[in-house]
Amino acid sequence: MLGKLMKYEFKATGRVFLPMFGALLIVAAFSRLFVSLSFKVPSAIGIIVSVIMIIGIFVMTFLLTIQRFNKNLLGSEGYLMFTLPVSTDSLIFSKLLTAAVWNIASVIIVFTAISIMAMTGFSFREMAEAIQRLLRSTDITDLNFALYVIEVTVSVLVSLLAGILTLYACMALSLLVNKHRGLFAFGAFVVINILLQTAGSILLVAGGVMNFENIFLKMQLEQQIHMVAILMIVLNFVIAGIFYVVTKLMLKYKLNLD
Amino acid sequence: MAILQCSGLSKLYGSKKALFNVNLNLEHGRIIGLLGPNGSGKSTFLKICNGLLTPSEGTVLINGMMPGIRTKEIVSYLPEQTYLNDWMKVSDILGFFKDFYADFNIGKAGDMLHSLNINPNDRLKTLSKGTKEKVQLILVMAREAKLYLLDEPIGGVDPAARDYILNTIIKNYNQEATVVISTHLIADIERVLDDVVFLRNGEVVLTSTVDDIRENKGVSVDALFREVFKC
Repeated sequence: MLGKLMKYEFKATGRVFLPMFGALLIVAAFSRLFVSLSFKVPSAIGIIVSVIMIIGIFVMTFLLTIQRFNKNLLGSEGYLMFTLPVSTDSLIFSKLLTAAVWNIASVIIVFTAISIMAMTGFSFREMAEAIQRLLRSTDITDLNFALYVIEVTVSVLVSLLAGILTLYACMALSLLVNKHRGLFAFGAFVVINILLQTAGSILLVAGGVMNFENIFLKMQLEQQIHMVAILMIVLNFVIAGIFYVVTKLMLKYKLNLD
Repeated sequence: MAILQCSGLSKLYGSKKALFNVNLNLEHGRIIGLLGPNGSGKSTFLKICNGLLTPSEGTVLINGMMPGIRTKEIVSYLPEQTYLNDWMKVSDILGFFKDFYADFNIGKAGDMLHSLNINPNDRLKTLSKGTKEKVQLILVMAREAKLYLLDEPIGGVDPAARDYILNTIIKNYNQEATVVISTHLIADIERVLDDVVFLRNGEVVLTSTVDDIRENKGVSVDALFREVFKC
């Protein structure tokens, strides 16, 4: 059932994202054409429009991440979604995974648009090679480099999921109140972020007390990088897990559709 | 075994009782009117049966199971609100139901759309409120479910469509299935009911067969309702 739910989730969101992505790529291509033809005014306009569209895409991605959960599950469409013979887990995961895919797609499309516009021809491969050359100048091995790439990728993905689940949990927590749910969700978001910052500071202080700093500084550079990356993954994984459980429990036991 | 059984069912919002100590046994193959004035707990009861609300106390069993995935497979629910999204066409939402409900009869749904002159290629966004309600009722009645829970199915549509809808309800359910219709428009639906449940302030004040009311009390359900809920 998760597959079917995701199919409809992609249909509902794709009709917004795909035209937006297409429009950005077209405008970016024209901007580059105008620049290479030295049409000053059209290229300036093209670049300005592209920048506005890039900002627009990021804003829309964020808003749609919120809106798909809030409208489709907590709004009147919830009557349909919550009476389907599917589990609450499937409902949350279909929203979460689809939103994650669009968030990643937005970044890739924006990078592509920028590399179309940049006359030098930006490529991920060249960037990777440049990083590799830089690392070669240190004593970091290829094996370690591959591990870093994996760690950073996993870390980015897990923190993305944790971010989306934080938003979901805030909206789900607003089921506790009957009025001003939007305001409550926003308040919950602010409070949760303050709590996370505080928890982070406490962890740092605790690390200091346990003399973690000295142990850390005695490690080799490559171990330090692994250490930080894995720590980030674990922390974000814990955060994602907590907010997933909060979201699920709220939807299961506190659902109260208008 | 009863298709729907509830014992000691209560739903409290703070100190306000939306439902209080409801005990019901609804049998297979009946059409049951869930009758009561506005705010008597009809919608709350149906929401609990669909797992959209968690009861404060007591239990609901549908075909012997607590509300969950297994009960949602056999319960066809028409909520009071329109839940149609604004980006699908009528034909898309039919496909959606076909995808999720094994008992959805898409041919039957197509026939009903045709009878009510609804174009399957229309976007849901462009439909009037009454037409949306008709589409929802078609979606719900085109399922071959064991239990239909209909919350105000005729509230928002014109009298001509009302007759069609009631006939649809009677025609489209099989003899084993049970239909629960919540409404306060009793005169219109009285002729299709087998049993009635009267709700007042969240409590059941009367359960009876319609024949019993007519024979033993000598009044229509509508007249009895007006008497019981006299303001």
